[in-house]
Amino acid sequence: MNFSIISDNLGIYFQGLNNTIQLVSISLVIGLVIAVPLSVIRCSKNYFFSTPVRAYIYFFRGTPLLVQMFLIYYGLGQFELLKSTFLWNYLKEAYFCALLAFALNTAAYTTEILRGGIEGTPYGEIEAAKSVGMSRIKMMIRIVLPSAFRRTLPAYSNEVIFMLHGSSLASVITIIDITGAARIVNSRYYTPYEAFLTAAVFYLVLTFIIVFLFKKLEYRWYAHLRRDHNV
Amino acid sequence: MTQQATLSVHDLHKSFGSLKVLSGISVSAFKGDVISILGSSGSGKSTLLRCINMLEIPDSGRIIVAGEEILMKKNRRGENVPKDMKQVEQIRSRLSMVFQQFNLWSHMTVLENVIEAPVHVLKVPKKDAVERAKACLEKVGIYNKAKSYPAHLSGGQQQRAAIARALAMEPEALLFDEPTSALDPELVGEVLAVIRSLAEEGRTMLVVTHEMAFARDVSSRVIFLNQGLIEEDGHPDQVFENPRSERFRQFIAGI
Ligand SMILES: Nc1ncnc2c1ncn2[C@@H]1O[C@H](COP(=O)(O)OP(=O)(O)OP(=O)(O)O)[C@@H](O)[C@H]1O
Ligand SMILES: [Mg+2]
Repeated sequence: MNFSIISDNLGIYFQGLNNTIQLVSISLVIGLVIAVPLSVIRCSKNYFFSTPVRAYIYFFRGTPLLVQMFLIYYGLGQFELLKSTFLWNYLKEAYFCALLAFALNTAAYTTEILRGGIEGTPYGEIEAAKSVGMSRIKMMIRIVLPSAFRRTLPAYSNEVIFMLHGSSLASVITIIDITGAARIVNSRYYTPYEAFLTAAVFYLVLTFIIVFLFKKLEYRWYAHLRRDHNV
Repeated sequence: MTQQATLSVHDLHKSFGSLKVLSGISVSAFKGDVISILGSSGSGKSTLLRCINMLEIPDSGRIIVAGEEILMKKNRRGENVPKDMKQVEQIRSRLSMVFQQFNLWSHMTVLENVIEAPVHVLKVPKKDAVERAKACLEKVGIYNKAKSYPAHLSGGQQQRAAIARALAMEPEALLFDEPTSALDPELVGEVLAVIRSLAEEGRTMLVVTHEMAFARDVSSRVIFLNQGLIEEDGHPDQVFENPRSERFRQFIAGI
């Protein structure tokens, strides 16, 4: 093990860390914002609305994230029409393409997770909401979604961790994330072991932090299930 | 001029597929009436109560709450459906229902459960709603549990919280669907005592129950459902002492 290589290149790893955190957190936020309304539509009995959402979920869960990223990064350039619009300013950037692929991907998975949470709402609680005169929308916002968020927290924490690890694919399209940094170090010094072990440590620490944050959130949100909370 | 009924149901019919559950029920409740609804299992007691606030959509019949009739129409398949969900929601907010399984919102504390609908449906300012909620919790005797979550309460406490939630809406009438049937025997009394105190306050209530002593002592009127129709209807003294229907005689003998 040659530790000096790592310490000499810590700067590039931290640049990679910065990019990873940005990519993952922005795509998670966008993904969640998209997923909440989509999951409500996905649960709609009206096929006219729910079918497009099903198709979207089916595509993004049915294909590898790497393929999705390639389709956006290399594929969209095929369309001359697109190239003439302002969108191209963004779509020609690898960073933006990765972000778009990640956000759409995590939105699809999160929609599906939330759908499970929504459908798992105890029926009696829904009837109670109806019986006091809540409209469908109010019931969604006040009763169904808050209870669904709580139920789906463990599944969602997995999705966040998958997204963190999935984000290493960004390095394939020239982005210097943590994995990208490791690839640069490896190509400079031919030391794959040191280079990728360092990347692994970064991912482990990030995962640890994510798990910790979700534990805290669970503690707060699961007060209604905790036995020690008795007042 | 006759007094206006708080709640009246005219010729209500309801089937589930080929199973005819209600075949023409008419009943009116006036202010202060406590009507016990009796009947064997499957006789349609819950269905009647649930039709009144449109948790089940009746096939035909009229429901009138304090003079306002719930407007119905036929949909494209010829089924009876509410004409205006807004009106249904508004009427539901004037009738509070208490369920056999309590159905408290599990992610909210007792206090949050009680202020939820006053704040978000009736648009009562939060401060006033909290005051109102505290008075309701006091009345049902679980003021000290205001900050607890439903899962941390006994069944009897949960049901009393549900009653407080119903009271906080200041409804025209309360609908109880077997409020004590899911409780351990030693918890039944505390919930019945609360319902009895509400009766004494002069609240209008429809109570589906299997508690004969309660029906006899507390209600001002008893109706007995059998095969989709009301077979007995009258003051408890009269109905229990001199039942007209053979079926009801067997029913009380069997309890
Ligand atoms: N949603 C439904 N779909 C189909 N059948 C139903 C539905 N709800 C009730 N039923 C049937 O309608 C009949 C009356 O049910 P209901 O729940 O009103 O009876 P009940 O008098 O309240 O009985 P219990 O004392 O057991 O609560 C029963 O045979 C029941 O199986
Ligand atoms: Mg019933």
